[in-house]
Amino acid sequence: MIASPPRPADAGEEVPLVGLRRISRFYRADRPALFDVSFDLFRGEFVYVAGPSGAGKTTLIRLLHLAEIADTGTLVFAGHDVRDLRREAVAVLRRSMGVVFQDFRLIPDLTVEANVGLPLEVRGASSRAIRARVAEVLERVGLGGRGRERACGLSGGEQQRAAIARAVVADPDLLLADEPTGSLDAWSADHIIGLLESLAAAGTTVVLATHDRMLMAAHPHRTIVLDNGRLVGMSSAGGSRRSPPARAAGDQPPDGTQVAARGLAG
Amino acid sequence: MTNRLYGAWYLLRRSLGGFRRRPLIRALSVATLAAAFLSFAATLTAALNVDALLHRWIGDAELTVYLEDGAGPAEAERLSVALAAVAGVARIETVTPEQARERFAADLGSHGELARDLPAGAFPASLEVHLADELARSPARRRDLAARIARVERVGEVEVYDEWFERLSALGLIGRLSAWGLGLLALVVAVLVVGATVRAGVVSRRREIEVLRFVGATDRYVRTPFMIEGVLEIAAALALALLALHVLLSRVESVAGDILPLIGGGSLLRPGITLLSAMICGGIAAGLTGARLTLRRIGES
Repeated sequence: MIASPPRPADAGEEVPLVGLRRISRFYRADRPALFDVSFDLFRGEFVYVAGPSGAGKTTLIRLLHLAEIADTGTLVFAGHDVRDLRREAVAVLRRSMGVVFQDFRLIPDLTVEANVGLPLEVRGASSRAIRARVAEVLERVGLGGRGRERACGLSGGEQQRAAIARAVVADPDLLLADEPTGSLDAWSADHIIGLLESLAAAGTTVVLATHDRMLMAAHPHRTIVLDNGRLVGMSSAGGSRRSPPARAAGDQPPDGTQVAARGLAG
Repeated sequence: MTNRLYGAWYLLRRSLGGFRRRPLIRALSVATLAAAFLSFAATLTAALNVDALLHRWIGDAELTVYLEDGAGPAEAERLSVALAAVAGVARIETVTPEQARERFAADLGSHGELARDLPAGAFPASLEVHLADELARSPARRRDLAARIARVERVGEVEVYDEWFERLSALGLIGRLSAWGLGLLALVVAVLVVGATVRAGVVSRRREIEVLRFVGATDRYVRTPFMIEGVLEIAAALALALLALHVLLSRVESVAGDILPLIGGGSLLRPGITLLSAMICGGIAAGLTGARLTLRRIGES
């Protein structure tokens, strides 16, 4: 049991915020959702997880969010091997994460304010602090003045923004986003990616699962490419800080941009 | 510390919010629980009153010896002295015809005038015989004593009340057993009903629970509001049951208030603070158990 989520070491110390080593996850014995995946995530990184449908992007996001435990391999978050953590410790560790799901997962009969303020409420922040912080974040995602509305009354795009606001409201160390711009128009998507980039610049590690090539081209960052549950490549495009760990002799990833394009084309 | 206070406030707010949801189901649950608690409390109250009545009767004369018409105070005194010498007789009280008429009039309360119109023969002189405990509680010995007294000269009739004692004793026993059976049933009902409403709450708020978990809520944070809701449900049902019991007893008193003295009863006994505390604590414990079992089962699945 840990009292509070530890802050990760500074990137300058070369200690990853998250480290995955030979992670595999099987829902069916004959077809792994993820197989032998290894990489590190550093503080302040913006990383795309790309790949076609069924590649294992969502499974990877769920593993990083500690919603699932890998069948084999090791996942270390902020120095903790998550396999050793008890449920309560996992819950506390999750408070240092923000997550945006494809289907938003807002509570429909709560107001936007109440939805967005939930991570702060769970931490026991004061009502006044929650109100102030929620208003600030809603303003940043373009929902200023909409806080009192019920979440079910928002459009799809607005719900997506509210979900993003909830993910960032507690200033997480790790932000996981599964297709966060899927419901947004190009202008709004660009705005939201800009917001996530500013978070990364402020020290939050952002992992964004997407298959939107236009988006990746417009905002180039390190890209982890999955296909059939396997890590088939890792780019170093714009902002990449590291090369991927060697997976096997003779299996060095080629140029990242090409791999990303190949993976997406598959 | 401040964080904990805010955390507690958010939990309470979430519980109250949950309690107000699905008002029809909630009302049905509370009504079911209240009916179960009321059955227990009403039956136990009835048993208490039967017991009290029995004790009042036992505390009065266990035997009444009616003298023959025309028997005067001298015969009554002579018989009283003779009976006082019998083993097991604790005390003897002589009741003159006038005293008997006055007592009856007093028992009738506002209808006392009726007693004054009855003929003199309706109120023979009598001796009320109070027995020692061991004799009072043995029907066989009591009957044996009554048979011996009946053979004494100038004794008209000996009333033993055995039939009434036996009936009331049996009624009291059945009442007590039924009450505790209903009490047990009420606890089982509380566990099941609270468990069912918690389950319904968890199902209808699955999305909320899922969201709470992924923003870092601990198991305790997720479960506590449901436990509080269970306690609130029980508290509401207990309050409703006790109010209904009060109304019921008041109604019984207003309807049968005049009759109770005639059968030897005083005012109705109401459940004491110990019984009420036990009912409240038992109910809340059962509600918490129901909520906890359900949450554990759901958590494991």
